[in-house]
Amino acid sequence: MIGRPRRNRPEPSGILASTGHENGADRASGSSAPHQLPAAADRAAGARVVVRGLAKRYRLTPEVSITAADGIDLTVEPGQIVAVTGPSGSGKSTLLHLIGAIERPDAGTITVDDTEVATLTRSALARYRRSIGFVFQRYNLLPALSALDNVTTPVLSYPTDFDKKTRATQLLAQVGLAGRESSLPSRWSGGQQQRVSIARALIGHPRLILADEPTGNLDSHTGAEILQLLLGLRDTAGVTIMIATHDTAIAARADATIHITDGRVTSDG
Amino acid sequence: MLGLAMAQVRNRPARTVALVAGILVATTAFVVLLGASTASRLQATGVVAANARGAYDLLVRPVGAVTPQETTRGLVRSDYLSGTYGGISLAQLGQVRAVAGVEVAAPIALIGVVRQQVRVPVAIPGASLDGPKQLYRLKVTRVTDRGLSRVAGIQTEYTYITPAPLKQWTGPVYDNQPWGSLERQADGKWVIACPNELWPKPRDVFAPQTQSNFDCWSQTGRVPAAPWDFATHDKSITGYILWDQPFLLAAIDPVAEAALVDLPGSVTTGRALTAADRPRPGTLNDSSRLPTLDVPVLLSSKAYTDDVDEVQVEKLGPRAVALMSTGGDSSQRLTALNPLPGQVLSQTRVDSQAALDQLSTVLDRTGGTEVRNYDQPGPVSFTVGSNSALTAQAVPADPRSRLAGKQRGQIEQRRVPLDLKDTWFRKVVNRDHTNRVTVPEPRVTRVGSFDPAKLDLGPVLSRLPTSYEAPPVYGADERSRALLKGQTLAPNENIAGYVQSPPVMLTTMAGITAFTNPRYFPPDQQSTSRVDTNTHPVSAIRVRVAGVTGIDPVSRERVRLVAQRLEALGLRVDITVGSSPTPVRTTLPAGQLGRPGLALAENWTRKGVAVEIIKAVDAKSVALFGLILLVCALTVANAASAAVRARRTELGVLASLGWSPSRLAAMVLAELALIGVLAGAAGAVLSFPVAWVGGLDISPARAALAIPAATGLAILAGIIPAVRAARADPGAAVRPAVAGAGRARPVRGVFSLAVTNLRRVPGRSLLGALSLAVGVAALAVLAGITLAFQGAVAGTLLGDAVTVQVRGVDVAAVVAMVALGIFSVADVVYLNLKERAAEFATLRAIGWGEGPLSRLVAYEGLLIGLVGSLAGAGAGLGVVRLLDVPITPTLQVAVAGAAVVGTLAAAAATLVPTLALRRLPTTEVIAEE
Repeated sequence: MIGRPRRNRPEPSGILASTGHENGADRASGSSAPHQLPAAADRAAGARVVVRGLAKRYRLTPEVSITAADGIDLTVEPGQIVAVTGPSGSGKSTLLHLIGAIERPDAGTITVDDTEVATLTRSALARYRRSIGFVFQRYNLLPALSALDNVTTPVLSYPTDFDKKTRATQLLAQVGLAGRESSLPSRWSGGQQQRVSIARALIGHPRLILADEPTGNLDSHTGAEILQLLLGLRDTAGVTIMIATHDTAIAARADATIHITDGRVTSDG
Repeated sequence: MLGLAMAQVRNRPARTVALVAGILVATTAFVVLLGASTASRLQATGVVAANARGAYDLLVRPVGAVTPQETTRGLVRSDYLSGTYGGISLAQLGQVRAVAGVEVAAPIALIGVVRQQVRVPVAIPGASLDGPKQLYRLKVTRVTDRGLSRVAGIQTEYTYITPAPLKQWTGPVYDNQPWGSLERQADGKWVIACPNELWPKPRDVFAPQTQSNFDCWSQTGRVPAAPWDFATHDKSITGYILWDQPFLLAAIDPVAEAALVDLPGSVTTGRALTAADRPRPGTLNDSSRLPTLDVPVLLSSKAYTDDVDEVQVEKLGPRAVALMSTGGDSSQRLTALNPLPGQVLSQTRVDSQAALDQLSTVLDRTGGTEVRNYDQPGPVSFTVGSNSALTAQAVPADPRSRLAGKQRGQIEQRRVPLDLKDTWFRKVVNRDHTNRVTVPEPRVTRVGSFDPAKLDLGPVLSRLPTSYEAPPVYGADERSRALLKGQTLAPNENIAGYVQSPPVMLTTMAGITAFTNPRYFPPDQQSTSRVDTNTHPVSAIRVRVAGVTGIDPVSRERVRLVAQRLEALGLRVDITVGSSPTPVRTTLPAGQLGRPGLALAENWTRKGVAVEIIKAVDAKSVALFGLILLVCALTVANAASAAVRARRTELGVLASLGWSPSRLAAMVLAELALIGVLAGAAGAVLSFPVAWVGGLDISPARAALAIPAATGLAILAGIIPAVRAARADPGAAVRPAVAGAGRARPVRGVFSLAVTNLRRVPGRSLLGALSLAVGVAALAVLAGITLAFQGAVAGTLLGDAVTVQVRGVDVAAVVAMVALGIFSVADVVYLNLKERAAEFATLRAIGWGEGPLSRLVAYEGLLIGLVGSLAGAGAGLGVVRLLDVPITPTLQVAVAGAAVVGTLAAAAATLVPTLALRRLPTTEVIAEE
């Protein structure tokens, strides 16, 4: 158990059933001013994440393997910002990848709201991934696409109940990139690219955002801006956020911190 | 540096294997396709060379004997002799023989159609000399034109057997009273039982009675109606039907014919004609002892006509038997007999061959047969339809010309020739002997028989009309083929019919005079021919040129020179070496005996086919070779370029460590050369089993060619990317392998994202498209050339044979090229996928399912395939146009089909990269990124 939520928020139903774009309530957020994230009222609150006995091992050679997750138990309450810390190779990214369903665990369960992630089919997994937001350390934008198209990428080939372009434009404005929708972010600074990445993570009205070293490639000033963006998300939309980071500043501002060493949770609080 | 290159090869096995695989496929394909292409050319030229020379090299005819259709279409009609009675003098023949370069000059002089009647025996089941009086009836139905024409009751023969004595007529014969074999009646009187001639004379030659005859048999005296059959009779009773067999008589030079077609080698009985054979004076065997000119002839053992007489043998009752004692009014008797019913004893068939065999026997027994008249059927006239099809023109039948001859009479009136009832397509000129008492009648005497099947007529594929085969006339459409039962339309008894029989009786040139001398056979007053066959008897001369070995340039020049010299003699000369039969469509109007109208195709001879084919095959070989080289080079270039691109980061690092661009490029090329050698060697080895599977023979030398080819291609293909990579600044090491597009373009869905992705790697995309384009272009060119074959050589037998033989390997080669192109597209898509693995991993991480991801990959393949196929189709049509081949709707459909197949196949080929996509380790790829 990792702390409690700082605010009382309504308990969400299953995460797959509660993604924002399915209730059509987000269009009002179009009027949000820059740097203002979606109002909490727009969305259901953040997701609750429960991890039990999570294990993941990578086999490098027939003789050598690395234990990236070794019986991890944790619970993240809705609306919490949790910092996952630990040395390089300790398993921080693996934990986020497992929760984000980018990887499948060898053992254990991951329950996000009512959804048991480890048991999902391939198509359900894709749907689950669209329902959460993932922010990568190296942004992982598609270099050929404009900022606007990068933001709409997760829902590019899927029907939505919102206008993708309008929402992407709003999100870009909210992360401070208004007016640069048509530009190629691959030529921008790291901070700007990470903002696009965050906007992309928000396109599907996620109730859970997983950020893997979001400031790892950024200078401290830019890193602070990105952190502010993420904190704002929690504050305004009640989104649950898990951040893997080396940055002590982030850990200090999180609701809770999990420290991982060699795939094990060595401390939380 | 080589060590570094080897280390790269050794330590990056996946990349090395990928590159080797690309080059391996290309080089193996190169060796095998080259083998296929060469084999195709060798096969084609082999077939052409083996079949280029027919029985003769030049056909010399009188200038006026050539039809307009032959002149305008570059053809020689199959029955080139048809209607050509003379036109070339013996002096001209001598001049032709004297022309330098003429090895053999074989003249042929058509004389005319001689008709000979023969009595063909038909068994009568149960007939016995020991029984009471018996009367049998043989009802004959003539069937011809492969069963399409049928004349019932063409002849009715009666065979009378009596225990009473018979005796032959010994009294005077007058036109105004009956005569015939006599039977002794019970009261001792002798009554005409078997009239020898119809009496009273019928006015209507087509009346049933006209075509009836009687044979009488008795134990006490066998009295056959025709004395020439007497010697063959024994106690077995035989009925007879009369057969009217036309024989086209022609004169040849035995020596020249021996050289041309080995006529002596085909002699089956008797002896061959010799130069010494000429007409000699003789006398008739009968009591008249009239003088004759005995003309030696060689008789064909094969009857070309397809006439069949269906004979129904019936036994008649006592009422009919009683009529046989009613006296000499044969007409009245037949009128009473013919309607009486009979008991059917048997059904039997007598065909032309049986009649010819019988005639041969009769000729030998009687010492020959007199020729009192002969007919000269003219050529067929055609009208040309809008689709170039010829329509044979019927001419008015002129029975009088066949019946009014001074020497005609009793025999013909017993058996009406079929041509009097059927449709005429030829005007017939009749030549009657002037007076058998004052001028000797020619009498053809058989020296032997020859079998036309044993003649050396030259290769079938370049078979020239030699006057020893009936013109091959067959159904041109399904209906006509079905009507003809898949057989040819053969000549028949109707000498004015559409198909004319080749000469069946051959005599020597010296024998011509017995028929052309106006003293013996004055010219027909109705004839419009201006040719004096007495002075210009030769219809055509077939010439073989000395020193001709085939269709090589020297041989062709020799033939051309001789042709030029012969033309200077005022003769029509067609160069027939290198010719091949080609079907010409004709429409034959319905006949009057039941044959419906037919769409026919007959093999005329198209000149110069062999040279056209050799040129086309050469052009095709060059085109195929070039395309094979190109498509293989593109595949290698793609693989090499990808390998260099994959090393971008390393090269950037090495550059940042101080390596010069030239050294970097050299290292890359050394690596490519090493891989080229490895892949080339593997390709050389692999080409053997692949060629074996494809039924091709690859020599070790050709297989070894793969090694330098692969190495050279790898280096060549790697130069540009190597130099570009080497020039890159060290910063390249930290930039992503696949850069962003120059400027952002809106993306509206998976398809437009695929378009954007391809635009990011335009060179590679175009390379893939180009590879496919070459394959599709090759397909288009092949289709075009194949159609050109059909067009240019008009489906000649030789052209068809070559095309059929060549098409297999050609199609295999082109399909392989298209496959290589498709492989290139798949390769491009795979490389794109590999280099943009992080992007795909990201898309999956942010929620893309397998469906959209697979669609994205497939769209990329589809787009490359579409561009490549369209470009290939366009280029192919362009090349076809350059080859002066008409772009027909058929070709357009074929090329469009190839483009569609190429596009879809390219999209389908992305299945492999798509499967690879599913195995993409998302986390690792994102982590590497």
